[in-house]
Amino acid sequence: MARLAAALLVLALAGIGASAQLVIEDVKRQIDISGFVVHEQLQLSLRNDGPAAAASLLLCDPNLARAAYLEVKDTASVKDAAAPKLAWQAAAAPAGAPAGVACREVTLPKPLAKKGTAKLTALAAYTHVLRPEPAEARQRDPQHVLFAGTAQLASPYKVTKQSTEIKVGGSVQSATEVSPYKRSGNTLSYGPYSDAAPWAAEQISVHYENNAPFAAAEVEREIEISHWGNVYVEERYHVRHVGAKLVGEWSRWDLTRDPKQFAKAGIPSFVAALPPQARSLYYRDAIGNISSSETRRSSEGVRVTLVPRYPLFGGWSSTFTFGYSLPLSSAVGKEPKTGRSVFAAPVGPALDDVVADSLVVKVVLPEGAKDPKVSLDLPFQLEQSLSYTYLDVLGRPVVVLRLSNLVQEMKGETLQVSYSYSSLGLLQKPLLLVGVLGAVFALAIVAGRGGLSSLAASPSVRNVVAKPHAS
Amino acid sequence: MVAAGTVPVTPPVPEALFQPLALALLISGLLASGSFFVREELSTGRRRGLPEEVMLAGVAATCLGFGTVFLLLACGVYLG
Repeated sequence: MARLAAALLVLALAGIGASAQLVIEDVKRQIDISGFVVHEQLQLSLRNDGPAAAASLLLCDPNLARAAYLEVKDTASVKDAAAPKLAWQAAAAPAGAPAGVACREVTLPKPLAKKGTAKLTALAAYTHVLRPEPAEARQRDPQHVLFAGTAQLASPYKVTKQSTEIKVGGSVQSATEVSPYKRSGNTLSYGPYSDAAPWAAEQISVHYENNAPFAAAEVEREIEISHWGNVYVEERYHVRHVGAKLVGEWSRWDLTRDPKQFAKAGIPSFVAALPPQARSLYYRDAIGNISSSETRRSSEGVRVTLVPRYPLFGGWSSTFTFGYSLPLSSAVGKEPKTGRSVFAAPVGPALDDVVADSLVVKVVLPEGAKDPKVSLDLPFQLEQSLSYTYLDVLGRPVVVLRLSNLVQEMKGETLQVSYSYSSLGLLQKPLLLVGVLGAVFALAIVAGRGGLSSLAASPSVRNVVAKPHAS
Repeated sequence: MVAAGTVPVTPPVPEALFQPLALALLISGLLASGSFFVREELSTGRRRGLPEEVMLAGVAATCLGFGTVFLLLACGVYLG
């Protein structure tokens, strides 16, 4: 135990020692707070001033605890789009960090040699970091929220030069001014700051108007694969408006009469983008079918506008089911070498601009499918279970994935489920029916020959059997 | 779109054939089972040929069984 503690202490000291070697020469931060999800982009160039090569970089930010995704790319030689993504892992904030700061350790593509330089671009999206202030609003009021951040990068390294730009997108009520500070229209510029010591990051808060839809949902997606030619997709949503709570009376008359004035921060509808082959769409809830929806089909895809029974205002929620079907050949392919079937589809729910606080994806495979394997580029928890649908005897294997904190950019990640299933397995259900019907006919044959003594026992039955032939 | 490197899986029976197949199989199945039961009733007292009976029952069961499957498929209930 003592040896373990000593080893951990040495590792921690080595970690601190390693982080003190790097110096960030220049970092440009761009923070976009105009929507519900906050996007931050960092462009930094760093230099290794220490004696040894540095293998990793620590990125810290008070909002990183709520990051839905973090993407770091090495853009020294390659343009951003083609640059490879770097691996990262959660790390404890080193000693000396202010309270509330979360850190991620990014592995550099190759260890940065002494006096070497590197250029990185980091992209992060934070959910649920904007606080509605005031917390309650009337129907006609716009929504104001508070964003809490830092004017400089909260970094364990010295930063030679840095600047922060915050794109607000709505009218600013108040913002902390940390000179040099400039406000042009709806963009706040902090910086440039030079020669900042480690962790020298001043807290700022911006109070501004943000009427973007603050929709957060718990989603359950159920995908059922049938090799007779169809893939069912059913999505069950519980969507909540997590903005400023509605107080006072709400008037649908005012809403219909003048939506710009009376529905500023309300969510009137949702938009879903489906693949072009989607068919058999349905939209219903516990009451029944919801007919207020509009579908537009084009060669790029199907755009569905779902209008719930009532618009969502702050504090309200809506539960509904949205489903569609896809032809089998557009979703499942067969690997020519191994003969395994592979189902591939985007993992995220169809509704756009809704943050999925929790997402459960269940993929129900055909009865008789064996050895299911899952591949997905996002962190998830995996479970397996059985499900019984029409004419199932042994049950269909179900692969259940649990994810959390999904934003729009992550919804396109492809989920691949591969399994072995031969087309002969399709005969199982018809043959089951043939067997049952054959048993009925066999019973009739046996009864006709008087073989069943119980049937022939009662005289009335014998009369019925014998009678029609008397005439 | 299917995963890269895979060939799309096409169902063994094209979807356009579900309705006609269901109709044809169910009609022939009902005709076969009808003629089976008629034979049952008419042939008491005479020796029945068991092989013919079993074959007629088999044809009726097969047609009705597959006909029910295609009926379910044609109605949009895709069996797993």
